[in-house]
Amino acid sequence: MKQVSLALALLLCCAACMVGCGKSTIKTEGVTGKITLDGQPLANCNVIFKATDSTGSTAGGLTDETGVYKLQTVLGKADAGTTPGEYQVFFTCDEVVQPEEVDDDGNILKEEIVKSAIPKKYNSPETSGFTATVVKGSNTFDFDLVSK
Amino acid sequence: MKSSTHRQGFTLVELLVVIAIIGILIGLLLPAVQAAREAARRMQCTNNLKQLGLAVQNFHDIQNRLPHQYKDPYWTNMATSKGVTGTNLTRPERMSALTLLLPFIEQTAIADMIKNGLEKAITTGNSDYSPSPTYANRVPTDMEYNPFTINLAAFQCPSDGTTNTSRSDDYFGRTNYVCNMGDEAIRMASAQQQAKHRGVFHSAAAGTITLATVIDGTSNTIAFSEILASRTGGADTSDTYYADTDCRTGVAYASAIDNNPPINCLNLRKADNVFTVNTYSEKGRRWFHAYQCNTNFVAVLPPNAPSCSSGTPNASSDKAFLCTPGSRHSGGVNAVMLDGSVHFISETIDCGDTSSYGNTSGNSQHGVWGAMASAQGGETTASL
Repeated sequence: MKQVSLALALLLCCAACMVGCGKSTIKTEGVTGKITLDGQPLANCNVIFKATDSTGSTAGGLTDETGVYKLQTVLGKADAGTTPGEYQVFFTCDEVVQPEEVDDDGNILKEEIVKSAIPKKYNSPETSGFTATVVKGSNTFDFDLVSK
Repeated sequence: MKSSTHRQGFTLVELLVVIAIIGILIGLLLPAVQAAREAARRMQCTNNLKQLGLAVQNFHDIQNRLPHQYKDPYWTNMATSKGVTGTNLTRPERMSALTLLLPFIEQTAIADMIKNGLEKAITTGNSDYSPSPTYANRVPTDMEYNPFTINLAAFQCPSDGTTNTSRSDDYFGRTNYVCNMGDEAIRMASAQQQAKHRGVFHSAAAGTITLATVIDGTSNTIAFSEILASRTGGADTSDTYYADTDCRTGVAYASAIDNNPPINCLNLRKADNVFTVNTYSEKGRRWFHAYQCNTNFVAVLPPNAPSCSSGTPNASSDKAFLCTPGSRHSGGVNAVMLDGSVHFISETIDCGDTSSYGNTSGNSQHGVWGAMASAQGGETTASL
């Protein structure tokens, strides 16, 4: 009798502990790597993994000073990577060197000038020429871009 | 096993079981009580949105058009009829659509106060009375005149709970309800850019808007949604740039965000939901101001995702804004459709291709979320 009540009490305690658990988020796998331009690390550049199959989740990352990025998705946590699947990879590395200026009537006085650190072909998933397959476990994808 | 028919009292185990059961029941009840409080706040929040939805309908009944977010003829005509030109006209131009709805949410007194102040600003040349007081004169000398400092309950969601912070322009009234500006990052200053806004309350420079011009249908198009007002920290140095590093309330500086895939905005989110780049904190900070993320939202990234702005902090250039709705309700935001119905939008809503550069005409690139924001996208919207 005692053992039965004790077991029951333990079971109920465990059940109570589990109340509130089980928040559903997507299951992501860590994805990291290094981006270089002609062998030199590219800082402050965006890398975008565009999902091309139903299991993938489009993800992005920003490189630090050493050119290292960590992917994240909207629904996952920061730096948590993305879901396994097939991806097209492209890059954007734009900086506004001259902001747009307008007068009070809305006429443009100075056009915005945006400078990119990488060739234009890397800005599109179709022309960048890079793909990646994210698998379970940790993933590392290094990309070396060429300026010419 | 011995048994006694004259047992007195409980055994220790029985007592422990009873205590455990009571503990479990309290454990179940307490989160439920907290959830009930949030449910009540959310209900009030939903009701505020519903009132704004009805106010838009009533405005349309009287004016035969919808209010504009920026350059609304009601304010600009009032100013030009008094002979206001040039730079002085930019202030009445910047009045938000929310200011035009005041008489329809039983706040006629505030609407009249703004109107009288505007006339006073025009006759006296004192910008203290203007709808866009500058940072330097944000505290008017005429303390009787304070419409822009009023924190209206009708514009605030109790779930947000933003209290006053150290920032000086807390002086201005906040809003948690923001106008649908479409499914692309927006720029407010240049006329060429104003024409690209695909939402409901675009600038008057892009043409008059009526219920008839919302060809996607009033029940498929969002009028207002929620935003989390910026909270602040650090020293205040100007009226637009301020460091709110929280990903849900701050607005991160993302270079050329309107010419880049919107997911670049997400890339600025770091661990613990903090931005590590320069940030603005203009979200919901002025209910009367049609600029920036003060009273605007765009449906590009899903609800509760980060917001971004391009341009150089502190520079008076035309900046692009990607203002993402957000709330402290669990799992999404409320939104009122143009027909007056309020829906809960989940943060897992289909937002299409977040790596897409976007388009300025035709179907939205941003899934159901973008389809609900575009007024003339022509999408076959999935049932909400």
